[in-house]
Amino acid sequence: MDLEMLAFRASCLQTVRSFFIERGYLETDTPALSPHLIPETCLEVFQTEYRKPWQDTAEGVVPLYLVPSPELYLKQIIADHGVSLFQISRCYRNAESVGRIHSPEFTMLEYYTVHADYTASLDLTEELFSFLLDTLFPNGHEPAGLRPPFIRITMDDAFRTFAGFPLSENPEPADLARHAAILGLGDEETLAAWSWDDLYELLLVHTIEPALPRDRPVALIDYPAAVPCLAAENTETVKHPDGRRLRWNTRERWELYAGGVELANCYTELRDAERIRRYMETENREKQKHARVPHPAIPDFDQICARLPPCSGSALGLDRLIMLLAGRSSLDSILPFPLTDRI
Amino acid sequence: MIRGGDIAKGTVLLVKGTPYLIVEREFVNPGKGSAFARVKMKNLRDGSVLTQTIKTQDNVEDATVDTRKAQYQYHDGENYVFMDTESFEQIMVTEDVLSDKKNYLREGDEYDIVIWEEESIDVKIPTKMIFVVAESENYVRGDTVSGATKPVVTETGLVVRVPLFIKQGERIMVNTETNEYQERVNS
Repeated sequence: MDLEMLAFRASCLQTVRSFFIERGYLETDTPALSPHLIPETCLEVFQTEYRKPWQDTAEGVVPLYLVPSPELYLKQIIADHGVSLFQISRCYRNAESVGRIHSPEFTMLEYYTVHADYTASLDLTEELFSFLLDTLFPNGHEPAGLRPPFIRITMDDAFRTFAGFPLSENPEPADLARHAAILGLGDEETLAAWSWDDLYELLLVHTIEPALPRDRPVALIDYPAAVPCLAAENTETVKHPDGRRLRWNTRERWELYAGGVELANCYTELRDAERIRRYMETENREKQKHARVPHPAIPDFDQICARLPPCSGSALGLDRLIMLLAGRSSLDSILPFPLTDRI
Repeated sequence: MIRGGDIAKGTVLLVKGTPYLIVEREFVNPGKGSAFARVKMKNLRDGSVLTQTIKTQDNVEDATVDTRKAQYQYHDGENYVFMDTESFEQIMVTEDVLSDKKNYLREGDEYDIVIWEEESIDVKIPTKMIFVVAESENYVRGDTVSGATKPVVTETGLVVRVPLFIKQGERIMVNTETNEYQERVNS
């Protein structure tokens, strides 16, 4: 990698650090190795093992896992100390493609703000983007498509605008299958066998994401509650054109896209021990059944989360952001020693 | 049949009997269970391009293709002429198969050629290639805008944007998937 790019990468990291430090966030650096993780069925992890000295028996081998995100540790610190914090650390995700915007080892920026919700996190993220652009490009020659204000659009409106129908008025799998068939994603008969979640995700990936504007960052907000995650939940009632009143459950979650790339994911953190316990149980069951690398779930995570002050956490793919700041379209251009060159 | 997750660039799918060559593939993993392969594919009969999203767990029909290693020799004005490195037979590749990839061909280099029903349908270009800067304008010193670039032309005729410090005669690494400058190659 050119020295100029190494220096640019260093400036990006330093600028992110000063942004959070100036605002009083505690910088943390939690472990990369862990004996247990938050079970998340959407990702696979890396396993390794610790060998105790002089103990060549089975008990001498302790399985350890590389963290796919520092969330499990950061939440413990916030529960114990009630502080806003940030961390820049390497995270590891297995069984994903290595390519233009994916690397199994990547740099995550996580930031949690106490006594704040997901909209406050979005405001903070806009400030971060402005700060980065102003600091890195003082003479204004900045890359296009990153300058706030972000476009904020609810998932329901994104479906209404880009797929031609609101999600909230289509609660049955058959409804989504019909729309997906109209949009040419397959024949209705095949799609009818899919679950609502799968159809929603197919439409999101095929129809919504590629249609999002690229001249400014876009935050998709208020995700359907049917997609489980550790974000706080809301319910509203919508009136279907046929007169029915339907419940529309959403989660206080947003994802940020810039230049067609998914950059960040944020929640108002769920603190309801019972819901967290149920989420963990379901995810863990699925994990043990289907994961290529099953791992033990972190014990008492529901109790840790129940001790959190109201807070909101964001996870941002920092390598992807640096890529966009550098005006490049592939991670290979901004990662020192990209894995694509070595495997 | 092929699993959605095994589809790659160069795979040929049969959709209701029509062969489609995968020209781009990206895996997306939006949420909990399902993962998808988002593919851009070219209809081998009429050249039209289609995007599709396929579940990585689903099976789809594919066509059997052969891959042959061949050395690029020359452009005869109409076709790109390669020589099979095992049989020494000539392999012709038409202009539309190569389209925007033609400037990644260098005489004497070896490439994988995808053959379907005895026709060359794709030339696999390595993701990273090193080129020599054949033409480059000198920039005015003092123009130090961070990240500023200029276009240069490589010995193969490829136009690529590079940082201002790159000079004529230097060697550069290019990502052929994005046609982006990667780094200066020393020595």
